[in-house]
Amino acid sequence: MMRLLQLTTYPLKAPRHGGQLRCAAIRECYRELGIDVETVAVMHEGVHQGERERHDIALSSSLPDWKPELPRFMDLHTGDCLARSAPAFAGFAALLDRLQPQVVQLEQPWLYPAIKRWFDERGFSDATRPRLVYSSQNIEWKLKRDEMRPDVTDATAYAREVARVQALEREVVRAADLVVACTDEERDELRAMTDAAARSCAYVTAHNAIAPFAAEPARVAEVKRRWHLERYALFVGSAHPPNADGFWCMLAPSLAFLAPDEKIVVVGGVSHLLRGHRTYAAWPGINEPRLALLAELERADLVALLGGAQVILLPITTGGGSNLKTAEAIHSGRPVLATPHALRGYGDASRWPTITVADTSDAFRRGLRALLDRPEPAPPADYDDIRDQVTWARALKPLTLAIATLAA
Amino acid sequence: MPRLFIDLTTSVQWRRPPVGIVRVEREFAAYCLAHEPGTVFCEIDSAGQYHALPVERVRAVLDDSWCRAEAVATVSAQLPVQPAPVRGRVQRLFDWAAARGPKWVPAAVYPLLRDLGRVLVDHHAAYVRHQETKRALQAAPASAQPNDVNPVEETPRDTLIQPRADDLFVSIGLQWHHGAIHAYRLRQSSGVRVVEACYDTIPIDFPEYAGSAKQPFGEHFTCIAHSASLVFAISDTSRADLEAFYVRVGVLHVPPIRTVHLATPEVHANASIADLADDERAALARLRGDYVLYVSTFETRKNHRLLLQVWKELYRERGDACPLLVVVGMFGWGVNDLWAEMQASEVWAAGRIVLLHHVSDALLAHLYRGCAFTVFPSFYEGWGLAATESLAYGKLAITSDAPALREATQGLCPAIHPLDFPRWLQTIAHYIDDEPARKAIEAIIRASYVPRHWREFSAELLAAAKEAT
Repeated sequence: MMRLLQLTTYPLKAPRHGGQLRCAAIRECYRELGIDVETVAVMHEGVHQGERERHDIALSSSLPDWKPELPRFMDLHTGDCLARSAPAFAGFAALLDRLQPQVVQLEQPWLYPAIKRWFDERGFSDATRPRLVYSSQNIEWKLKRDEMRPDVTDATAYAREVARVQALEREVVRAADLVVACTDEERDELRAMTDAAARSCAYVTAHNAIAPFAAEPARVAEVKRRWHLERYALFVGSAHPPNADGFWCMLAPSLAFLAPDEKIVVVGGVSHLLRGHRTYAAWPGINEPRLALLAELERADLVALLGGAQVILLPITTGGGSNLKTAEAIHSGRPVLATPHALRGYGDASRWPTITVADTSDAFRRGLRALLDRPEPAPPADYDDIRDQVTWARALKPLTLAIATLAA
Repeated sequence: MPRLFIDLTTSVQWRRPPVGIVRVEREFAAYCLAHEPGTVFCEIDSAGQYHALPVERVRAVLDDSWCRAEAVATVSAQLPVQPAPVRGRVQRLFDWAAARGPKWVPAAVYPLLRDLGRVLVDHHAAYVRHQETKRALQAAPASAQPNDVNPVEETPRDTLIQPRADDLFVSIGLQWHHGAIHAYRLRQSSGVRVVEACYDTIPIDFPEYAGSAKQPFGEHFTCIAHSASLVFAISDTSRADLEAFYVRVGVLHVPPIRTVHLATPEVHANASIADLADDERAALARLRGDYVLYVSTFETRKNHRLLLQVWKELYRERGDACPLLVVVGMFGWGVNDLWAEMQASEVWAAGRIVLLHHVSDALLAHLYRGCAFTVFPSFYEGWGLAATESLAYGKLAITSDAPALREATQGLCPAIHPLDFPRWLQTIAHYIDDEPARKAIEAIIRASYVPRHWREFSAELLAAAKEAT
């Protein structure tokens, strides 16, 4: 049985955000293939308390490589702390020595410095070295670059860290035996990071997906009753600032195009960000009554809200990878209003029957208005195949084949 | 045959001399009562439902006695008035609540709280002044007190209106106070065609000059964009401002907006001094010599500050020969500091500025007839009823160059930027000193100004409403 070590910077015990859900799905998929998977999540001791699994490592906050003034790079600094701190690395290396993985799968590049040090210190030859899988979720350096806020305190330091991420990403790709990307575009971009003379490496795309779900009519009726909802649009997003930026970018200048009794229901951590945005603040008297900010909900309630939505919004304007929320919206079978960016990684999704694409704020608002005004659409016929395309079982198929080849 | 429903809620609830918007609703309702048989008048209840009013109650509401006039009050240096508090406890309470941070109050609520706090504190200050004025009135003769209005029973609550899709529902009163959402719901449930009004968008465009909070006003106009088959605007200026607001907030389907100019207030050309009440005669008797009249609520947007500066200068230059400035209108919003400054000034101490409250139409007629000319230096207006009233009396009105004032005065009056102090001083001094020039311009006004009767306004509005789809 193949022993595979999966390395992350967040625990997978109770997956919630996109990265966790993807890693957990991959682990589950491997286990179904009969691979012996162990996950080691390495993180700052102050985060994810109570969510850790048995091999997970909490790093002391007193380590010198943390840079609290650059919070967006905590993942990069996690790798620095692990590789540079003698006691932290010793514990990590001892764990790896004990697990003796045949394959090490890095989820994102952050922990590569520690793996490299372990490889170097153990003196593996090319033949004996565990195979290295780089499982990417984005082109990370671009994402970090685009996430820089105008109010960042030290732009020079920020740019320096972006450059370090770029170098790290390139180094991981060059060292990997298998590179996994979320979209074909990112796969090609990662491939371009190696030069022609580099040793052979396989590249696959495994887009993001979701576990199948179905909304129960009774629960749909119950959530509508509970939150006094009739016709509503649904927006689901985490507390990731670009989610709020995308929402207000596509719905600006205000929600005045919605009738007084129409609402956009917002689920997830992005609920906490929307009121702090300058677009909201320009017209709070108009925006507030047209928003139902429900924050984090139980999965069953979210599924019910998906099932009852007149339209599901995907106002995503930045970011890499492919979006789990897109898969979720597509799978629901409800009408979806999306930016072209939200559909990256989902092939010809823009031609699927439930999807409306809008690439400007004006088109997005008009699209939403039209979708709210039209009668309840009948569920599209022959939709099961489309639904299936956005499940993990289908999305991870290329990865399972590549892993099998790697093991052989 | 489509039926006409008129929302009379504002008029039912308004028991003071009518301000402009109340006047518009009352005049339109009176016209429809007389000329549109079968019109259903209604009032909204606390649950947001509209009840039909019995016709005898409608007649009572539209009778002049419904808007009970209080005795006229004169405030000048001769009457002691306490200075209003600069900050009230209410404002401090909201400041304190906002300072507690997101833990207690969501960040988004801060601007709303500040608006609300500001409005409350100024209304409180206005209330305090009103009470002081009332106390001053207690010394007035008993005959000056208003007659009791005959009590009228409340609207029966078993008469919910049930309009059909082809009917018309006209709601042109203080809707941002009563809630435009109720007309929206009525339209949603019945399909009735709704006609709403836009008097101005000043709380949105100039929140610093408005007693009403910007955000609720913005939501009000957003709501009517979704309910109205027609919005009537009182001027091309207001229409353009509303259209600009809809562009600004991104309303996708803007309802038809039609200008229907307001009527000119009725001229009481034959009002006799003998017909005035004792207190009114007494007030009029205090106004000796030439005086300049400004009929307007005493609030920051109306730019009384400029007039105070002009009158300070005139008093410095002319001493006792300084003409009198007579300001007619209620105490309004945002004038605490101006009021304090005014009372501390020499021109006030010399009695050259007089404020009159609770002025009846009859007394107002005498004030117009007796004044040298009128002034209207307001920063912004949706129309300018008082300026048109001045013209109707054949009196020169020196106005600001606010677009609606130019529109209302038909281009017949000198228009000066509201902050151009030297020109205001020069122009006012010129028309005080040069009577022939004043008479010449009055002759032009009498020959050119086209007054408009409420009957014409109502007929035009009704015709426009009937065309709404």
